Amino acid sequence: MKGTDTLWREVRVVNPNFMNGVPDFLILRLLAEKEMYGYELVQAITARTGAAISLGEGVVYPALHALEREGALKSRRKLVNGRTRVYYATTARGKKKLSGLMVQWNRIAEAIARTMGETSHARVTAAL
Amino acid sequence: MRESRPRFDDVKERLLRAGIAPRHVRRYIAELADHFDDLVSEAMAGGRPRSASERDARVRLGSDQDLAKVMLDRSELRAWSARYPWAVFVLGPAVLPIAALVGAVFFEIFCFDVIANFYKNPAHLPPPVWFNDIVAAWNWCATHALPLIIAILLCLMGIRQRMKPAWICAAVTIACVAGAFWKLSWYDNGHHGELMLGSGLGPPFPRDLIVAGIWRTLTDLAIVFAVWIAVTRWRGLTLHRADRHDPLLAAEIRNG
Repeated sequence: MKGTDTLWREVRVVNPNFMNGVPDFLILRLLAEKEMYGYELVQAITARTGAAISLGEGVVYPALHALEREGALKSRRKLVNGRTRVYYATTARGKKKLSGLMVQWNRIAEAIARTMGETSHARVTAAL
Repeated sequence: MRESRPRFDDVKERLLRAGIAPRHVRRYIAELADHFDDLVSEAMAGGRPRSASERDARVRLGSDQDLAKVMLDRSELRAWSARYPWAVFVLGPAVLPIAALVGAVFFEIFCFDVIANFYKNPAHLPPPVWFNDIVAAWNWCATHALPLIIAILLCLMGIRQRMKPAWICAAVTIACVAGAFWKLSWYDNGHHGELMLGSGLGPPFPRDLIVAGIWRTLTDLAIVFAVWIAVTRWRGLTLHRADRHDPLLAAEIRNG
């Protein structure tokens, strides 16, 4: 049986549409908790999803720029250990967008879980 | 660590040529470089040697093609000039010099108004020479310097955003023509003052303004093209230096 990490990577390669909106959702979710810079954010995504979703290291920045452009995020430069880092945090508009995305994702997840349940049930019945 | 940092010049060139806004490109490149440093630090903290850490970090970050692609997929990050080049390089140069001139005239009128409120000039004396010189200099800037500055800025913007030379030529020519046929003059004899704005592009098409305008257009075009050549040569020198580090990249930029 394949691990979730491998499965997600396959999903990304075979059907990239499945990943549409995932980076934006994860970024908004994590930045709603605390402000972070790019590298920290990638680490947090990997850790929080148990490495099931590991975004390409460079993918996160265009998503951050786009979210900031639409007003969902704000950025500020901060000097840390002699290096200037760009920290991102969610705005009120970003939090609103996140709650909308969460409703959508929950609905999709429930629908998929229901479909998977039906399929499993059908398979068991056929086997019997 | 910084000496072996990847330059991401290839990514930068691809993004700029594809019309991604320069401010996003600049920040993206800086963030990638920082990310690279973090990945190297992480690997070295785990006991990996520096060279292996840097190699791994580059792999984890992704190929230049992938790094450019993820940014290009975000069409909202494209600059206005890439999305609406006709507006920025045709409409803008036609409107900007005239708008700037009108703005300068209104500012001048405002200043005269403020001065008139404080200085009533009961003896109806003509203004001092230095005041006339300041007004004349302002008028010269509004009619001569402003269009030239606008044309140079449009040229630099086009170069910076890797626009096709045709767009840059169009913008520069339109800006130079739109701004060259104007004359702004002022006089005040103490009893009466007048600020006059004349154009060679409208009736009665005064011959002196048309001739002066043609000469100014040609002069401005020569100056802007000199700046263009200078900037292109400067970029060439920068490429020459890059050549020593990465000949393939430099060749690609040159061919592009």
